[in-house]
Amino acid sequence: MAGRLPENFHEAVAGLRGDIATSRPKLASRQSSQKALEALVPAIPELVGGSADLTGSNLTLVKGMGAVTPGSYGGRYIHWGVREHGMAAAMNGMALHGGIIPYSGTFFVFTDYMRPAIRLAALMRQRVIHVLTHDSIGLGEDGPTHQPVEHLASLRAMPNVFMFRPGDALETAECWELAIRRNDGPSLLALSRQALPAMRGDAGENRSARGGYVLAEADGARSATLIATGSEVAIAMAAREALQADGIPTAVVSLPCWELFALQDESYRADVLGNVLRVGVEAASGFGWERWLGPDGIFIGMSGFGASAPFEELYRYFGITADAIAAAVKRRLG
Amino acid sequence: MAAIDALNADNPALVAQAEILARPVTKERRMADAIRALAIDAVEAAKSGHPGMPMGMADVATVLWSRFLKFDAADPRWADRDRFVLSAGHGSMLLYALLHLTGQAGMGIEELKKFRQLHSPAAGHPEFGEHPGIETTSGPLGQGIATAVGMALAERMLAARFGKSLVDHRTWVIASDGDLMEGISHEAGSLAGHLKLDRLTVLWDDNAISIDGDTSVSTSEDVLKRFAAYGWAVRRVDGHDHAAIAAALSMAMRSKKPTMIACRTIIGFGAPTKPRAATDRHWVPWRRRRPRRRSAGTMARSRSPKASRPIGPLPARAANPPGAPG
Repeated sequence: MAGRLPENFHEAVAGLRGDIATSRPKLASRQSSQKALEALVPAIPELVGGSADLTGSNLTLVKGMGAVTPGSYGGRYIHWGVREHGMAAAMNGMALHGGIIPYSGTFFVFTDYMRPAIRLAALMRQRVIHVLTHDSIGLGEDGPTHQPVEHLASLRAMPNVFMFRPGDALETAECWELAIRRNDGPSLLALSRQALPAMRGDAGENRSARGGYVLAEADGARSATLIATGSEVAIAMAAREALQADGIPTAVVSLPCWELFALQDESYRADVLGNVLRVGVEAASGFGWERWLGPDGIFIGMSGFGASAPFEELYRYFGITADAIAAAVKRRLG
Repeated sequence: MAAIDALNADNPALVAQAEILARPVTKERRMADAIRALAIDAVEAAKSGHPGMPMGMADVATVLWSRFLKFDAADPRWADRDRFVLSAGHGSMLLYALLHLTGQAGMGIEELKKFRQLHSPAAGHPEFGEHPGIETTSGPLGQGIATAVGMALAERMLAARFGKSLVDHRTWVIASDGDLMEGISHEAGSLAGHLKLDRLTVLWDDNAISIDGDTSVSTSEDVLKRFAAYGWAVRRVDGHDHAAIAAALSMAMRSKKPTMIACRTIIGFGAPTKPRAATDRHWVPWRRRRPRRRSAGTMARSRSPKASRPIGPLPARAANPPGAPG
């Protein structure tokens, strides 16, 4: 009831991060989230999960949790039904009641249905966690009704919300740890449907805790910095490889949580972002990116709604590819 | 006074109010009257706020807080306390008056005098964190009732883990017509009924008044039938009859389902000339009514009695008397 985490919490997350750093799995971040939950749920009795009728897609259920059913409340998993708004508000009530750390699952696009309750969680500084999968055009064939575009920007605009968008399995575990440790506000995890390659093999430090960091430094004096989140970090890494092969030393910054990054001291942020050409890469609206890119930066992302097609084709169609990034950098650098 | 008497004769709500006020004064009635007086004074001092709802629900809230609600005024965060959620957060003075009258620290008369002022715990709407007796921020209608469903579910889940000796409390909600119009109330009601959250009780301030006028301008559903269909136990009471209210709350304590109690009330109850005269008491203090956009003649409309509202002493709603303050 006191809201303190169990003493073995640190060991559970350290073990999880170590495993991922060793195995370096290529997983959709929604799968990485499930992997994280498999470690966290047994370690934290207060953790109670659920989904708005998308359990198999959100991957929010861990074996052995048991479901809450009418009149029987011993389980740790709630089938909320297709009631995102009610779910998010009831989770606020569970957190306010005390003794429970609630997490939910739904598609990222349906945060539109949850927004008033997320806003109250932020206002009341309550620890609720939302697992928001299918977080971009990367969900593919379901099309523009289900493809979030403006949601990252709009939720980043909401005070006291931590909007996480991890880029691989290790970052997903790190962001989950940060969400659970955070006891003064809601955390949202935007996760991919599509598989993402592992980017890092270091597990010693939770690097997502600073919100953003240099994932790959340039070989030589930086000519450009590519700044990406989530599923676009791997695309930025591929662009870096192409640019460096053409003699353009390029760094890649992963920026899984803007709010945490904004809390870092200015010199850290300046070092990470660099003072050469900055290119933002995110399969979403560019609204707000000027904050990191400055007036002379380039944004590679979405300028309107998505479309229905296999996701690889959509990334090509909307020009969010390593080739497009490399070409834009070269054009600018002459 | 002749003018007021003439007005009374034209206004069935005032006739009903006069009948209720003529009943013998009890200790509980005096507490309810104190709530009403505090709501009037605070809203008048702040020159903004909503006195009508606290005045209408003062009797229900008094019975709940004095006979049923489990709490410790000296330890408002006691883990096994009942949760009280004022979903109708615009009536915040109801909650502040209750915290004050039950002697809770941090809600003294000086705080009430600063109703709606900067750094006051008595903010415009109840704000979580401003006072330990405020269980949740409320005001965006519908949020409170859905938040309360989560509280009631959390209680059941923790009771299943730790047993009745540690976790054994209830969740009480005061909700307005607006709370039940918002879509989220449908989701929350459906969920609570499905999960059989029998420790949850919603006291609906069934005053049939909304900002735009009588609720009949925008809704004609049978709320109790709706909640019964969700699997709730439902009851309708005269929200100014303390014995009837207590009987309904006792029923809620025994129910194996979540309970919805429609409390038929007169908004602004107790005011000498204002109750139910028009909608604006719900919206602004009496001396700062918003300008009329239409003439009294066009606002007035006949309303037929509703078969679904059988409460004895309360009249069917009547048209605004032409020329009455509106």
